[in-house]
Amino acid sequence: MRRLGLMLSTAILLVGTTGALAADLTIWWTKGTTEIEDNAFKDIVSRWEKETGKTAELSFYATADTEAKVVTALKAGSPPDITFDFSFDLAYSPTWAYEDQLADLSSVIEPIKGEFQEGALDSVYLLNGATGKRGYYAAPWVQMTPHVHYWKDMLETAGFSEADLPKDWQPFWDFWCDTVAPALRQKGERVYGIGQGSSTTSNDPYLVMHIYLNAFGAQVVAPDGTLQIAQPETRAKVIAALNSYVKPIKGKCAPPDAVNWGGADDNTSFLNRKNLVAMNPTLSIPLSQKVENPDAYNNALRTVPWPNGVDGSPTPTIISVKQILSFKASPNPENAKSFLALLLKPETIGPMLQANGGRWVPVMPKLLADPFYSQSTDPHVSAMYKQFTDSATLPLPHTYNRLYAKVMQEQLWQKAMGRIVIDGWETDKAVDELAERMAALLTE
Amino acid sequence: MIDTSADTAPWRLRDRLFMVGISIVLIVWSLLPIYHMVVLSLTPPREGFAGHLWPVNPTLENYVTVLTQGDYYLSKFWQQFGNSVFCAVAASAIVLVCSLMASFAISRLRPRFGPLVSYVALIAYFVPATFLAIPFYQVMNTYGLLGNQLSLILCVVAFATPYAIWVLQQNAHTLPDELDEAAKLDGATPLQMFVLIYVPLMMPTIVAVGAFALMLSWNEYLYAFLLLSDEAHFTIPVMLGQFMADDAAPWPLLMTSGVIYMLPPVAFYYLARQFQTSGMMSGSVKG
Amino acid sequence: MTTPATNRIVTSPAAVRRRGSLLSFEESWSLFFILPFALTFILFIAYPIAYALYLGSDLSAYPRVLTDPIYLQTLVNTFVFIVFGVGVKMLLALALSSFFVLPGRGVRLISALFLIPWVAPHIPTILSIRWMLNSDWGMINNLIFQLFRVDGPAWLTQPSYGMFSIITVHIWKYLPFWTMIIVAARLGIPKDLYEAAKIDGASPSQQFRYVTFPAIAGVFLTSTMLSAIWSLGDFNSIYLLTGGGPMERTNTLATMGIRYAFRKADFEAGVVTMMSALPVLVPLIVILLRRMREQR
Repeated sequence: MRRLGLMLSTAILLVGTTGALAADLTIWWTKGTTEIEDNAFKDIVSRWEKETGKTAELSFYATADTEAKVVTALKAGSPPDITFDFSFDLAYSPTWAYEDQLADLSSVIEPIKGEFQEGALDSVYLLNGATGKRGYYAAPWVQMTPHVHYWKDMLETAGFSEADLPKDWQPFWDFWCDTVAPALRQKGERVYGIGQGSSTTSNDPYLVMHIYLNAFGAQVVAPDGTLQIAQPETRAKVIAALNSYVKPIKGKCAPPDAVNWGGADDNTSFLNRKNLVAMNPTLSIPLSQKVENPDAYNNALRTVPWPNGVDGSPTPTIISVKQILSFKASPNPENAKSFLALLLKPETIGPMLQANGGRWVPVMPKLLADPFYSQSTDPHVSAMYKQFTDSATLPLPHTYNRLYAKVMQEQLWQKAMGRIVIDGWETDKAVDELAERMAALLTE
Repeated sequence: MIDTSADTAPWRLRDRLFMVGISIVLIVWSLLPIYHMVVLSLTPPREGFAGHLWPVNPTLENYVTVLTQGDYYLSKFWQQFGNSVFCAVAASAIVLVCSLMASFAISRLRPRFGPLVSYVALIAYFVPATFLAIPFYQVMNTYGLLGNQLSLILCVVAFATPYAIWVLQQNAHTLPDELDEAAKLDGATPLQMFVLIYVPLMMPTIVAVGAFALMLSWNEYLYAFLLLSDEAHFTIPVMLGQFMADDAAPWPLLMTSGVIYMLPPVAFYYLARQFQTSGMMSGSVKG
Repeated sequence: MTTPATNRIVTSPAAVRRRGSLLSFEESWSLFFILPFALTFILFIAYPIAYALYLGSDLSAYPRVLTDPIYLQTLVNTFVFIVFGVGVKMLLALALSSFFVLPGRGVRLISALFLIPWVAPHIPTILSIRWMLNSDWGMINNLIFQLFRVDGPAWLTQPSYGMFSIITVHIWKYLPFWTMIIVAARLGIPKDLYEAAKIDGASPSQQFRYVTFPAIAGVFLTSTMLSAIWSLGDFNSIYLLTGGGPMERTNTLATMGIRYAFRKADFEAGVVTMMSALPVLVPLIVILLRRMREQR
């Protein structure tokens, strides 16, 4: 029995050490919506392995899980070498750069600086609080914006055509809620109008809300970084924008479960035709249908520009540049840089993004000029290209004030929505609570 | 209330109806979610949202997809199933070794510190596992075991062993002392007594305790989710949990994998039932 | 590892003690037999507990938790969850035990089916319920719509219905276990007690009151307390069903603590949140320790 105990402890030691014999490069990546997308990335990882003769360990996580895993591992002192998640640019990198937690990627970015769009470079040129200097603390690799999708065939079943759709902000949404959805319900179809999410567990409502703010001309943070939300004029616009956002939820035009949707539930509900309209960043919704359901992709599903803002002009869009991070505490900084250098070569990333079917938009002008995007006949990719090139763009508020990232981290906008739709608060009271918390976060 | 020693005389009609009523309620209550799972698993993938009461176009397509790993979400199904089996078997083996040895010492060798050990085991048995998840994660990080399946195995060992000791010890007291005395007179060492007398006589309880550890490991979600970090190392519950967070995840396939994952413990449970009702359940609460 | 080599020649434990040795022959061997358990206990229970207390001693975490608007709601939810989850479950278990102690193959068959919720793995079954209760596309609301042409309640996303659903799932999952515990206790009551009661002319309800209940009161009380402790740690019934939402309104201390630690990387706040349960947890554990040890 003693020998058994000895063997057991040796075994534990052995397994323990093999676990510690980690790869030369650890990558935690957010899973794509299709197998093609992940395989395209895997190919690049194996290319790096072949070219360098080193080993990489690539783990894919679901959207919400990458964020949690990285945040926890960073706190525990064992972050990966390379990681990508949707939330980094919105909620974390400005703070982490300031806290001196990120690896300086200047040596990777500087040599290829000329390839990037200016806005993309700006978004990763972050201030380090420890040194007081700015540097490239993240690698920009793609960009995205929220899109509006609807089911054209269901609109027609309800007895309308696309020409009937109003072009202006509130009339557009009201039309779906007050006219199309009720018409379908009359026919016995149990369907909702707009997939208006307000959940704190998803990032989508945060992005969409900022388009609503743009539509109402509400600038929460001024370009000089000062918080404007409490100023009467801005406050009134914010209240109007929030009212417009929660209207479908209060009016039971949004599926009731939308108040608790995770990042994927909006896709699920819309794709299964439980609601007519969806607002979602990237083209993940149509692309999920491309292979298995080409008819839906080409005919039934539509991607359209946002309705005009309340002043009658096109609503400025928002763009979120997605970032790849490496940490100061990452075990293999040099390997991380060598991998990024390979990934960010236009010859590498260009074909990879095209293989994804156009879910993401490149951040390199040369790549975006490729006919794949600029002369696309694909109904969704061409609509996306138009949205990126034609519409005016407003930066997200954290560009002006890095502390605004905490607003996203605390999901303050969704909390305000929750006050209104769950607790039944008046909108102005919810905005006051929001403004107070924002002020506290931004004056830290 | 009806008591155990109800008359053997034929029941009145009203009692009979009452019994049938309760039976129906109990069956519906217990099986509705399972039934729903099975219905979805027999539903074509695109129709998972129809909310039908029974499968309208029943198909075994989902089972074929899962068993052949025919979907991207399930591309490592068998590997992950294997991980679940490996963790469960390894955990129960270690639980059995630790708890048999400890309970033998406490109940047969009766050292002065025996009561203290059993007291400590009892305290550990009471602690809700969830409450230790945060420090456990940190401690595993310190040991360098994060992401390693061993961390999950050791977690099950930590939480199942105290219970196992408690149950084994209760049953060990029923073994006659004369056996030990006789063995001692024959010059047997404690080690021989353990291997040749104690373990064979405790077999029914060992089965019950082993089954408990197997099921604990098989079911574990929270710790598996926190401690494992690579798809290739996931157990099935973690893989199933990922469906909740994924875009456009095929739920009928999730339910199909769920049905398949449910079969081993249910089958095992009914096969080993006579052991369990005696050891596993009644042993856990005596007071 | 302690080797009893030096003591092996000594045959009588008493002889060892007389010679002033610290441990008897059996005790030395006991150390060896207890070692594996002792190791796992120290490494994976005691050290984490100590670490938790260390994390919980960070005073700066307390204001973060106490000023979180969700904290009070979480305390209330935990209270409701324990009172109704445990209370209703144990009363149902007691009532149902009257059914399951009946002889007959029918009852045995139903008890086999009744145990499935407890045997089946949590994750697929609870996710199945989550799907079934989805107010948008779930089976239940679809049925309601087909029958009455109205939308059914938002089972999971209206906070009070959400708590109701969570408690129901908890009961569904754990009722079989506790029912069988009580059944086992009832089957252990000597038959002649009932014979005597019958001779005295006791009705079935009197038999329950004067024979059955007094005999199982101890087990019932212990079970209730044990169930309360474990229910405090029930993470799956909440996390897999509502994820604590909407807007974190259906969290209990367990899910809220995990959320702090693993969504916000605030380990200290997570531990502090869970430690809020200690004023209930510790007395329960102490009482249970006394009860279960006395029994032996």
